[in-house]
Amino acid sequence: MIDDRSLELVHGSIDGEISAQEAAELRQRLESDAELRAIRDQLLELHETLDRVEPVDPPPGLRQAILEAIRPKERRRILRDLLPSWPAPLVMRYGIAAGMGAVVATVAVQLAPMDGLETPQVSDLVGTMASHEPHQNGADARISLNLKEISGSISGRRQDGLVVVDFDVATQEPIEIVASFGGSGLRFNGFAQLDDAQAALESEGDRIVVSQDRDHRYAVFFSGPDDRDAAIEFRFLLDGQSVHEEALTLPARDK
Amino acid sequence: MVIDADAKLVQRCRTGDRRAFEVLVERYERPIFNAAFRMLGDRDDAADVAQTAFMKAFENLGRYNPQYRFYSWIYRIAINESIDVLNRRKRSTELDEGRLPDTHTPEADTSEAQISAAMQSALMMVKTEYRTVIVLKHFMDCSYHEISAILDIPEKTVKSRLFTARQLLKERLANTGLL
Repeated sequence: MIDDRSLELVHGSIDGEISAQEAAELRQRLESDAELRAIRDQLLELHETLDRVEPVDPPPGLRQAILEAIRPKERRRILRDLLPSWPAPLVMRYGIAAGMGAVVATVAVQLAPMDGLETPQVSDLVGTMASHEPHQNGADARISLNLKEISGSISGRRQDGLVVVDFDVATQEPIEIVASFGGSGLRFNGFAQLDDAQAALESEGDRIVVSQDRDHRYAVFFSGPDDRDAAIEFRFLLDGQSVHEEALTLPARDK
Repeated sequence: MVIDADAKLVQRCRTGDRRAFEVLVERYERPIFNAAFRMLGDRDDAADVAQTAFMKAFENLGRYNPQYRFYSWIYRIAINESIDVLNRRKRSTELDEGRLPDTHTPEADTSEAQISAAMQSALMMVKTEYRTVIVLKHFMDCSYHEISAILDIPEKTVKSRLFTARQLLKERLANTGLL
């Protein structure tokens, strides 16, 4: 019969969790106990067999799936951090914040028609934490970005007479995105950000330039005829150098 | 207080540095997936557990205590998620007759792969509490102290479970002729 102390020393030895003094004690016990030696040998064999078990490769898309899965969580965390610290239940605070955002977004969207054909002042149209939520599967056109420096997507759809372009772009370095829309009859109409104002927008005639860093989500609104294709060309600039180009074309509405 | 490289990455995550969390995912994707696979014997379930574990870790970064190792924390999440899956399967007993371990690995014809498959079968035949300590000790290289922290049980219990787990595993493997 093997006593508990001997067993503890054998297991501890195999696990590398005994002191030099305990190792000496184990040696003494092993010398005088054949049964203990047999048990030690069996455990060593088990240990070696376990060591031969090969690690399993994760599925190829797992890492990407994890990173994509945390994106909405990241946004939620950003939004939660931005919520006012009013003494109200969390759900109510979301509601109040969303309501405020909705007001900002509505003002932004409605300013352009009031100005007639003039391009509205950008400062009048920029909203923060707007309630604008893209339709998950409602995009008329979509660009996926899987570059080393830039990832995410840009999607566009027609809604309520506007062309709405959703930017969901993550970057490690500050970037500029130049969107050119000459020839489509589009006019810049508004800008709404889900997170705080770390993306800046400038409007210059038939193009806009958005500057952002890290991970941001925002929407840019355009007005224009819906009986023509709406084509927008994007250039992505790092340190002023163009690193990538894409084009987004929303088909004309069926009459 | 232990401030290791992972803790610094967590700190960067908290300030909104998305890349920092990507580094943590790159670093721990494989061990977490392997831990879950050894617990569950199924690649799809293991992938789900790995994804859930990282999501939960991300959501709860604010609760992470840098006094502890990040990997201990996320292993704990992954092990708990695996146990939840096992509970949902309603198979916390010794015999897991319905679900055979997934042995469809690219190396399926090699002797090492056969050993891996036999070991996985044997693992699936021991109770979850014993399988867990074997996974943490042998596949995750955790110390008694770390296992104690991950499972929130005394070190004495860790040792006791390991002794029993090895005895059971030895018997299962002897029945298959592997030992």
